[in-house]
Parts: sequence; structure tokens; C-alpha cells
Amino acid sequence: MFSDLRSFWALIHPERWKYFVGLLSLFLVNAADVLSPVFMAVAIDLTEAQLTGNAARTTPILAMMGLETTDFTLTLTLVLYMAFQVAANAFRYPMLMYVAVPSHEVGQSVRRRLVDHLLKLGRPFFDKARSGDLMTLATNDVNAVRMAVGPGVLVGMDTLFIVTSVLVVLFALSWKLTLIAMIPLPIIAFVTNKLSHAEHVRFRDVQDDLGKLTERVRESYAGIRIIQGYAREDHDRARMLDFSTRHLRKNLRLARVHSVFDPTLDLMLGVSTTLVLVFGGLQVVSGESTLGTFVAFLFLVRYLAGPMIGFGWSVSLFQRGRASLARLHELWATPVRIRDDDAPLEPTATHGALSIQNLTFEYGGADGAALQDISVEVPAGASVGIIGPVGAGKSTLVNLMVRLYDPPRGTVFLDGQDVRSLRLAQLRRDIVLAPQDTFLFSDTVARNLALTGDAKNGDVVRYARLAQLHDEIEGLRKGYETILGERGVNLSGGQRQRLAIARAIAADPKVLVLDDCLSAVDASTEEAILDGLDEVFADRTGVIVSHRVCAVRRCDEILVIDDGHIVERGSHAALLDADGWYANIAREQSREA
Amino acid sequence: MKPDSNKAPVAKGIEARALQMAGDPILARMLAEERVESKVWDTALLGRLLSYLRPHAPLAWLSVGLALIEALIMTAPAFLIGLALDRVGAAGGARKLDGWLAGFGRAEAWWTAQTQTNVIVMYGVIVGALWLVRWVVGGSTNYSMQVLGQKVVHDIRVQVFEHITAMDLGWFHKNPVGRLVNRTTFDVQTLSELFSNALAQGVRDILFVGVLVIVMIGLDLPLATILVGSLPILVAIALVYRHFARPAMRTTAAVVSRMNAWLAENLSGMRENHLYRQEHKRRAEFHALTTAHQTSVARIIQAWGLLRPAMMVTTALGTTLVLMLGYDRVTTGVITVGVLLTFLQYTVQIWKPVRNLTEKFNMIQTALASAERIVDVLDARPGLTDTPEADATLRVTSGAIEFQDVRFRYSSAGPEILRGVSFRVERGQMLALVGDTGAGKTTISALLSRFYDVESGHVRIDGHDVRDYQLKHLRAGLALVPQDVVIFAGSVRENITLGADIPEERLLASIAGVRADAFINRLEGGLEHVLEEGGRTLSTGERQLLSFARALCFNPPILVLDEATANVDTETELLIQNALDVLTKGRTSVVIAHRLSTIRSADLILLLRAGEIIERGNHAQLMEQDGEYAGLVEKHLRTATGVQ
Repeated sequence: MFSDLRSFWALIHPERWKYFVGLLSLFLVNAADVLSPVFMAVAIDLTEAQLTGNAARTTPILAMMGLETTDFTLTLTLVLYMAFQVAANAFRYPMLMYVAVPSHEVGQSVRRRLVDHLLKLGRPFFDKARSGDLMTLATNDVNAVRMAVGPGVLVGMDTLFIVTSVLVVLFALSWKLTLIAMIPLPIIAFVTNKLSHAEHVRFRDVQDDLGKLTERVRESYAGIRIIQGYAREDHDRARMLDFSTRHLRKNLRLARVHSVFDPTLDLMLGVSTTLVLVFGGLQVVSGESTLGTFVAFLFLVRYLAGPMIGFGWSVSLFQRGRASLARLHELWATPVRIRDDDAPLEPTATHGALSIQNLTFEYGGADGAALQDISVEVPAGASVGIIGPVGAGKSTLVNLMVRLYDPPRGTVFLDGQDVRSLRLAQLRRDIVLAPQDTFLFSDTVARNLALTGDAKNGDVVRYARLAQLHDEIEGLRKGYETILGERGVNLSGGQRQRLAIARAIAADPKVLVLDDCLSAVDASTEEAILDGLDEVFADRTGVIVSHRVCAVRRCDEILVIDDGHIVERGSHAALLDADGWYANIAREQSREA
Repeated sequence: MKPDSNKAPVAKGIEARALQMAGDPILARMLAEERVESKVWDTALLGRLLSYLRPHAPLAWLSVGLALIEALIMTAPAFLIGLALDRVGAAGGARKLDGWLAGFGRAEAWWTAQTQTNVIVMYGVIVGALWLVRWVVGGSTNYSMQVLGQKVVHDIRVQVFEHITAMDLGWFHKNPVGRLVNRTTFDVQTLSELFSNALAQGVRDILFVGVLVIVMIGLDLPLATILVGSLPILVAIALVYRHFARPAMRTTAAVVSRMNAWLAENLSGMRENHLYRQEHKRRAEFHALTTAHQTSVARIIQAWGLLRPAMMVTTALGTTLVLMLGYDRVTTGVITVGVLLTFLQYTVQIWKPVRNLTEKFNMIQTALASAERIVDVLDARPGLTDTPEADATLRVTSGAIEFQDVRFRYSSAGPEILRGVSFRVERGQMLALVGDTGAGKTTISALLSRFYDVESGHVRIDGHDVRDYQLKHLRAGLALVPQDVVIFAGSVRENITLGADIPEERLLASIAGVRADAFINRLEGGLEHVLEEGGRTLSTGERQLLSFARALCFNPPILVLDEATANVDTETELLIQNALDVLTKGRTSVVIAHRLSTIRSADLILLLRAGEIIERGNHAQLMEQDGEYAGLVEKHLRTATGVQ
């Protein structure tokens, strides 16, 4: 509990002075708000006195201040009433601006810190993390923390202030009546807390279900060709009806809590009012209190019920915020494993010579070594082809070169320097990897292509031509300015692969690594791209991964990898002569084609 | 159906500030979309929405009835407390109860003849009981309105889905899946707020204000005038608030969607961010978004911080005036102190409905914009339906295919995709379509299932034009195997049968036939193994085999196959090859071919270029012609074997 408060305080700390001003305003709002009904009481008493001709009696609170009702005229009373009301409401503005606004500032800083950390975490983390969970963290959990330090603090403090000040005034008016009116208050706080908890749980359930419903719908629309092609619309609609009905049921479950929430709180207020009516009424009858006191009570009870509702709510906000903050802390505590050394090496001169020495690598877990004892030398400007069946470890090998995963120290070298000792940014500027299935950002084709921002407009076209993509881009409605991705045009698998190649070339690296980037490209296009790549590879080091012989045969050296081992190596001609796995696969592939 | 974002008005004020801070072109587009709002009183739209209530009319009337009762009860406690005060207070004058309260007056008179304590207790019990009744009635009103709203929304959701799945493929091309999904779930959900929340609350609030005004006028006209007179001021404050808050709310909504989209995108693209050293750029992008968010949120809070005090000061002013005028009226004996007290309590109650409506206004606006988009979808007519001449008894039986001088374009303004294509494929033969991207191969296969209608010419199956068949019977005659296999979330069985009633033996035989049994048996639960959407847990080859099994178990006379270009390893390649032989045996097949082996075994090969057939014949004939086809084959061979 105490440590929770401390971590909340740490969040608020940079904004503490604003909070101070805000909470001070809140205090003033309450003070003015609570005092104004007293003048309403005086007005009523004055009215009654005028009507009955009796001298107005003085309510205890005025007596405490050394005043008497007869000191006031109706006009003065009303002016004071208005003055207090105006004051109370005037302070509401700084109260919101100095608590609610900074609480959002806290939310932003939590959000930024989360994203900053995520941007630093490497592949090993994202392999395990589910993006849905991370999204929840960034939206729901950040919001829950924000609610705790915003409305949670405001309403919590409001309760504290108003309950004390109202109680002071009420006790001054009549302590007996006060105790009676307070009976339902703890129940209100308890019920609010329980109900808002139930509401939260059911709301989350509805949100999750909405996610499933959305997936269901998306899947039908995406697969409409098959559904219509096999004339299965009726079956699909029946499935959707099931999902929609379930969603309806869950919504009604939430509606049941929603429905009783407000009426229940109103009932509690009603109980208080009834108690005041009966016991206050009896006091008026017996002459124990004035009519005005009774009226003031009726109004002040309302002031008590509100904060009590708020108190239950605010406790529930803190409970949620605490759980969310714990989850956020857990993520922040995830160490960044793939990072720069404290004193990274400055590169001597980059030529692009790659060297791998006795590399053995395992991902961790029960699968054993993904790569075993790999050694290869690629002089600057030379090229190496890597071929082998699915799951042999080809991608693992190239991922280690750019440190998507960290190889053991002393195994992978660029220009004689251990990649582990180089600055990450430097390494990834020198070695660029084009993955098999690349990601397109919701941005223009041109900017997707020139991700690193180094390429000029004319260059972009040249790179697209090299990757045999230019004609198709020109065919798009806005050419290179067409927006891709989620909110734009979707490219086919082959087009995406070619964009990956163009993107990698555009980054102009010393070492260019193509990880099976031609698998979804048809044969004649593949040939054209390979021809173009000759020019690209002329002055840089090349690493080409494929399971197609035609893609690697031009390389200076070809490695055949199977089950994490290098099983054959040599030039295309030498490997054909050796008549092993490579020669075999070359024959198979020429027959298939 | 989507408004052109270019025509949207130029962003001003807070919107412009946020855009400038974020420097994000996609945010600008999102904001422009948010800005498209409907007119609030579009009566045709409202009428159409209300028509959805008709099937639930009894529930709707019940809800309104309950709301009316609740409104009556809500005004009662203040009234009774005032009455009680008059009976006991020293200032209590004789207050006569007449009209429909006369009966209550008589019962009360008898009881009041007893002690004053009795009076107090009686009013206490009545007020307490009323509050209990209100709890029950209020809860019931809420629930019945929620049920009503949710049912209506469920109806709309199902209707939208059914409508969309009945649309033609051409329409799907124009409307990206993401947008259609939004119409079916997000927009409908927004609409549910309108029904369950705004409508319910609105009906209740309006009824309450109505009842309140009547009761007040009944009690004392001058005092009632003060409170009723404060209503327009409250409404005016609400309107001013709306004017200031709306652009900020819109901006916040857009920024929040943008932040979420940004996150989703960059989580998926994290590897590329690392590979291409985008970390700093992305960090700056996100920080800019949070700054924009903060600015727009602060503006909303500011507007709110002015609205509430303004409304409360207005209320306080009302109270002051009531006390001032009340003083005169009580001391001159026109009204009693109790009536004055009732009025004082009403001043606190009257501003709440107005505040509620102010808060709901934005929601109503958003919901109506959603409604408009939904209605747009529902009004779109499918471009393809059964023709009036369609013969309900006609079925595809033998599988002979004929294209006669077929011309086709996707849209009237677009380029001609097929320019007079004619060919015949006899029952049981295999047709291979060869050519570059955009040559018209896919279009030919799509015309067979009548996913589109030809511009001129005829597509005939079994000698009948495809338009003479009912769509479902035509399509039941063809099995589709697309290039990218579609896998639905569900069991393997469901994925193969697509929910159709297929005998177990036929299913098992189909699976064995394409040799998919080996991998299916390996899956946990076998046929009942639940796949996730897209079948990510399966390999490319396994997905292919599953798609083949699907085609085989429907066993139609015609197979339409788009060969996958994706390279698989050699072992899988052999498996697929064998499965293909099984699949094409004994039926007419149309194959968009990428493998030479497939093409070689075809009975007819069409080499297409830009919508025209440039060479036709079987492999041997075409090789002999030594034309383009022969050149293509040689190039293939050269590439694959590495002979320079």
C-alpha cells in the first residue's frame, strides 16, 4: 500500500506545484459551497419571522460566529448567498486546470516512457510479447493510471474536504441530526465501489467480445471470394448471428449493472433525506431547531451523498490504477539486452568485410542450437549465397549479422571488429538486411522506400527500377505518393518483397543482406532483379539467402546449411561437380520449373 | 461513399494547432474524417432509425411509460417535503389540496387531526416509500431501454452483415475490408450509444422537465416563471460550451485513434524500425502526438471548467430570485413556506437534464454520422443478382466451358481488360492460362463464377450462359482454389467443409486423396483442431493441401485453380504436384499456371497479353510454333538450371 502511494507520488512529483494550487482551489470551492446554504437558511428564517411576526431565531452556526439572524436583512443575506456561490464556482476553474490538466500530462509522460522503452527492446522480447497485450498496456493501463491521478485524486480529496467541512457545519447546526443523516453514507461508499467494480469487469468483457466480433466480421469480408465462390453465404451468416447474439447477451449483462447503478445511489440519498425529514421535522415541531436549519440540512445532505458516491468511485479508480501501474512497471523493468556497450568501438574504416568464426547459437529454450560451429570469411566486395531447406538456420545466421539477436562475443566481425562492440546504429548503417516479408508503414511509397531518408527523389525511382517495381508503382493512382499499409493500398506478397529489396538498396549499405526476398516473385521478374542486382553488388559485400539455386548461383561462395550446420560449400560450379545435396536440388528445380 | 478529404474545410483553431504540433499527414486525414458530421435534424435519417423500433414496439412503449412514471415520482419528494413543512411549521398556513390530489387531501386531513408527530412520520414513510418505488421504476426503465437499444443494434448489425456479404466482388474492390468492418462493428456500436444511452436518457429528461414545469405552474406561476425562465439561459450556456468544446473533442478523438494506429503499426513494424534505425524518428513522432493530445485535452477541460460553474451560478441566481420573490409572496400570504421550499429544491433539479443533454450532444452527433455511413452501405445495391430469366432448375453437370468474344472492363471508365476472348474447353479437359500480371488470367477465372458480368459476348457453361443459372447453383458447380489460401478461425473440419453437410466418408476420402491426412493427423485433435484466422500455424504447403481438400470434397464438375507462385521446398512441391493430379482428374479445370509441369500436361494453353490471346494450343503444338511461348519455356529452363 505504502509503496503504491510512493510510485503514484513519483508520477505526480514533476507536477506537484500545480496539484498544490489545484487542491487549494478545491478546498476553497468546498468552503464557499458549504457556507452558502447557511444563508439560504437565514433567508427562510427571515421569511418565517416576517410572516408570523415572531422574532427570528438564530441558527447555531451564526451564533457560533457571534452573529444573529436579526443582524441581517433579506437583501444582505441574498447578496452573501450569491457571493459565496460565485466564489465557489470561480475556484472550480483553477481546480480543474491545475489538477485535471496536469493529470493528463502525467498520462502523456507514462505513455512516452512506455513507447520509449518499447522502441529499445529487441527481437527476443517481441518474439514472446503479444502485440494485443502491449496495445492494452498502452491504452487501457495508461488510461487507468491517468484516471487514478486525475479524477481519482480530485474526487478523493473532494471527499476529504467536503465531508469534513459539511460535517463541521452540520454538527454546528445539530449534532443529533447529523449522526442520523450519516447512517446511509458508508453504505453508499461500499455500494458504489462494488458496483463500479462489477461494471468495470463486465465492460472489459464486452470490449473483449467486441474484438472477437470484429475479427469474425473481418474474416468474412476478407474471405468473401471463397464464401461466395462456394455459395456458403447462409452458413456464414448463421455464424455471424451467433457471434452477434452472444455480444448482445454480454451487453445486456453490462446493462444490468448500469441500470441499477444510478437508481441505487439515488435511493441512498433518498434514505438520508427521509431520515432528515422525519427527525429534522420532529426537531422543528418540538422547537429544538429552526425551520431554516431544517432547510439547510436538506441541502447539505445532498452535499454529503455526492462525495460518498465519489469516494467509492475514487477507491475503485485507485484499485484499477494500482494494478495498471504495476503492469507498466513490470514492462519498464524488462532489461534492454541488445544495446551499445558502455564504450562502443569507433569504426576504423568500413570496407564491408564480414567474418564469422566458430559461431554456435541457441535461442534459449529446449530447442538446442540453431547454428553450430559456423565459420565463413566474406572479403569486402565479395558475395556469399546461403541455401538450405526450411528451418535450417539460414535466417538465424543473417539476423545475427545485424544483431536482431545477439551472437556470442568473438564470433561475428565486421572489418575485423566484433559486431558486439560496435555502435548498433553504426552496425545497422553498414549492414542492411532485407527480410523475407517486410512491413509497410502507413506512408507514401516514396517514404516507405527511402526509410532512412538518405535517398533523393530521383534515386528512389532508380531503386524501384532495380527491384522491378517502378512500372507497378507508376500504375498506382498517385504513383510514388500513394499511401500504403493499413489505411491505404495493400501490395501483393511479391510487390512487398520487391519493395523490401528496393528499401535495402536505398539505405546504401556496405553489406547488403537479402533474406529470401524473391520467394513470392515470379521466375522472369526474379531473373530481371538478379540481373539488376549485379550492378548493386558491384561495390558492396553481398549475402543472399534462398532455397532456390537460381538466386545464389552467381555468388562467389555458396554455403549449404542443413540443421544448423554447413554441409557443403564452394562455388556454383564446384558444388555441381561435387554432386551432393546442392547438385541434387539444382536438378530437381530445373525439372519443376 | 467516402467523402473526399480534399474538400474538407481547412482546419482552424485547436485543430490547426494540434495538426501543427503532430506534423502527421495521417492525423490530418483522420481529423477530416471526424469532421464529416451529419445535420442533427436529418428527419429522413431519424425516421429510418426509429423504424427499427417497430419490431420492438411493446418494449418501446413500456420504456416510455416507465420513464413517465419515473418523472412523476422524481418531482414528488420535494413537493411532499414542502407539504409536510406546512403542516407542522409555525408558519404553516392552510394549504388546500384539490383536483386530483383531493382524495389524498381527505386522507391526510384525518391523519393530521392526530398529533404533529404522526404527520411527520406519515410524510417520512411516504417519501421513503416513494424513493423505494423510484428505485424499482428507475432500474426497470433503465434496463428496458437498454434492452431495447441493444436489440435494435443487434438487428442492425446482422442486417448490415447480411447486406455486405450479398454484395458483388466489384463493390468489395472499391471498399477496403477495414472500412466495411468498421461499418459493421464500430459504427453500429456508436449507434448503440444513441439508442441505449442518448435516446433513453433524452426521453426521460424531456419527460421530467415537462412534468416539473406543469407541477411548478400548478403551485405558483410567478415562481415557476423564474425557473422556466432560467432554462433558456442554461441551454444558451450549453450551446456556447458546445461551440468551444466540439473542435477540441473532435481533435482529441482523432489524435487518440492516430496514437492507437501508430502504436499498432510500429509494434508490427518494430523489426523494420530497428533494421533501418528509425528509433529516434519514431520516438519524435510519438512525442509529437502526445503533445497534440495534451493540447486538445486541455482545451476540453477548459471548456468543461467554464460550463459547470456557469450553469451553477445560473442556478444560484435562480435560487436567489426565488427567495427574493418568495419572501414577498409568503409574507403577503399568497403561498406557504412549504411551497417556497419545494421550489428551492426544484432549482437544484432542473439544471441536470440540461447538463445531461449537453453532454450527450456530441455523442448524438457522432452516432448520427455513423448512422449515415451505415445507411450508405445499406443503400448500395448489389451489382450482381440472379437475372429474371434465371432457371431455378439449372445445374452445372458436365463442365464444358465456352467463352465467346468476351469483352470486359472493371469499371466503365477503366481500361478494357479482356478484348474479345474466345475459346472452348470440353468436359474433363485442362485449360492453362499463361501470361504476365495484368494479362487477364484472373479475370477469366472470375468470370466463370460470375463474380462480374461481361461487357459483351458470352460465358457459357454446359452450353448455357452463366446468367441463366441462379448464382448459388452456378457457383456450386465450381471449386475455387485461390493463390492465397483463405483460412477461417475454426476447426480443420469446418475449414474444409465450410459448414456444409458433407458425409464423413467423402470428407475423409478427400483428405486422403490430396494426402492432407498426414499433417492433419499430426495436429492436436486432428480434424477438430482449431486453426486461427489465416492459418498462421500451418506452413504454406499445408495451407495449399487444405485448400485442395476443400475443393475435392465439394466435388464439382469444374475446378478453378490459381497456382501459388510462392516457392516451397522440394519435398512439399512433390506433395502438391501429386495432389494436383488427383484434383484435376475427371473434371474440367482452369488453371492460372506458373509451373511448367502443370502447363505441359494441359489440353489447351492460352498465352495472354493485355487481354488478348496471342498463342493457343497444347505444349507440343506451341513448342513447334517456336513463338513467344517457346521462348518463355526456354528462358525458364535456363534460369533454373544455371546454364548461362
